[in-house]
Amino acid sequence: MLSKVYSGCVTGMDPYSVDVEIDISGGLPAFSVIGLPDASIRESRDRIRSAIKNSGFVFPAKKITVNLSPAGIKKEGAGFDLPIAVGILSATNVIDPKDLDGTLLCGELSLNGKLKPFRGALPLAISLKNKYRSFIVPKANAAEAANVKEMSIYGAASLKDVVEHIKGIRRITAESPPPGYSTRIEDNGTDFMDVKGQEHVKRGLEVAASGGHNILLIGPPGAGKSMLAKAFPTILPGLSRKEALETSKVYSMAGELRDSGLISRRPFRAPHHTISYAAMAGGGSWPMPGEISLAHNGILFLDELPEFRRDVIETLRQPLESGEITIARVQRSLKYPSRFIFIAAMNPCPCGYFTDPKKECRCNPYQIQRYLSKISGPLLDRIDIHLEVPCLNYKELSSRRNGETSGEIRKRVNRVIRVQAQRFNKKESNTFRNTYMTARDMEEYCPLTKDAEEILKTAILELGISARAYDKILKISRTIADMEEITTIEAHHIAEAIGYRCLDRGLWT
Amino acid sequence: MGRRTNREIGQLGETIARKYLIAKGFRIIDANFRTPFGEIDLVAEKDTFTVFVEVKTRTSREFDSPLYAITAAKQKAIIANSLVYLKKNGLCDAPARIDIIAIDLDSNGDLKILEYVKNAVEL
Repeated sequence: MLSKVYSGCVTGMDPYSVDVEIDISGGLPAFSVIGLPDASIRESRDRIRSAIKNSGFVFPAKKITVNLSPAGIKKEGAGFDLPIAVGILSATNVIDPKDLDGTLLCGELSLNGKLKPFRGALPLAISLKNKYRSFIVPKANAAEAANVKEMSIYGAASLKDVVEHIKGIRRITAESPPPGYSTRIEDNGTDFMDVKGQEHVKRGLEVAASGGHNILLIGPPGAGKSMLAKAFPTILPGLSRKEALETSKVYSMAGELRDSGLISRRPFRAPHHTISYAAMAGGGSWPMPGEISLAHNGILFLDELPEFRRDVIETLRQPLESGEITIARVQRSLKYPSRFIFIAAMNPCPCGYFTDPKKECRCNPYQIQRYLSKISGPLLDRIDIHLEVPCLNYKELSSRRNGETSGEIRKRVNRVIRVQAQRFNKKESNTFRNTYMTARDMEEYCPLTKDAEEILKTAILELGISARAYDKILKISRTIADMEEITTIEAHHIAEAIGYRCLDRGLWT
Repeated sequence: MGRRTNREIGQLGETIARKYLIAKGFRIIDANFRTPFGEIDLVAEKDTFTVFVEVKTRTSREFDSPLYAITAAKQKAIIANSLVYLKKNGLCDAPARIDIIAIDLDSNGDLKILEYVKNAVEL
């Protein structure tokens, strides 16, 4: 008695379909799974046996061979419990094999036959939507999978429900796709209007939001670095549906997408500085996405940057450059997307008051040097905008809040993003921002006026700005010019951009 | 009828198995053959094959089929026993196999279910 059930599995961000073949033959009772299963699949025997029995069916005392094909790829996860159980019931004629055609099954079983959610329902549904008509998933995964409209998604509570559904005794109603995607603007209670003073920092953040630039905030304790970073998401446009799908796929892999459907809010990840390398980059022998991937299409905020472990900070180098991270392990190497705006905050020295005009700094030059050297040149190089956040004076502190609201700023940011989308439309997706420009792009899209060239030249020669920073300055000035909807970069754009490179100007050293 | 000992249950099962095999055309050539590794319940012969038969008897189906009781360790012992028998009788090159008979008895000691698994363990 042979049966075949269709299922799938996701490793990294690559989903693939897996055929579950089951043969039941005479002989001593045995249960073997072949086709490179991992430990959790090999363990599935006992879950499946109990689940079948406790759902009121008979588990055959026969020799059962389960083959997961293609046999060459390693399979992982408990999502194969359901297809194997259904396959056994099909091989014992409880279910007509014909009823299984065009149906994809995934889910973890508990001993009493209830279905438990598995990881990766959304990426699986997206990539296999054209191969199958329907997808039976545990109820907890139904909402996320229902974002794929090309398949009927059925959320089942138990193995019994699945069998009754397949046999047509009691059909499960198909999960209705979520009513039109609507993005949610971040509203975390911190509006730009609430931030007093710091006008040039706000301006810098607006530039960063517009061009997708990374930011380093430097200032004494209590200046409001964290508050500014927290307010930053409120000036970003909402996630587009495409971005939401990308981000939700990562969350689905991390098992953090439950009941809620899509992630419709830009992620804001702010891990504590004690975070380990694996939690930041993604890890485990079967690597799970880390903080940088969970921040995909959103913001990664590292407060007190020098306090982070050096290897953790250095991890960011590749993702900041390429928008994805490759995690290599013994079994295989995986890629996770990680395109985010990076915001870091730090004090200028260990005591924090080096740049403060009033309070005296207690650090000696050696201490400051050591503190700053925790952040490597290559990483600083990848941060476009360095902003100094000074302490507020009494006048600013006591002033009534009167700045612009986040909503007003967001409107402008949206406009600049549209300008960029038009420019890069032909070559990339419309999520492409100035910060991702290559050398060739910059040659094409960053024409300078005579004055602008002159200033840039002076800056390089006399301020000792490195050639590496040259690119960053061009990209930032491109964004500033875009904010004024001017095609040719002018002198004051360059000048402002140079102003955002305070570390290049050798502020302390 | 009173409670039986496991030994009585086993003997009851073996009698049933013996009758079953004879009815199927086997010739019983030995029974309860002891070796250093344990015991072979029945040794039969049919169509030139030497057949070692392990009989497993249970009185209740409250749990699973008695077949589940033939664990991996037990299978190893059955194979070892069979090899000892073949060696002792100079049958090493003769065709042989291992069959298993699982018997369920009701509380009166009457046969309820008999499962016969041919070539259950590879020799």
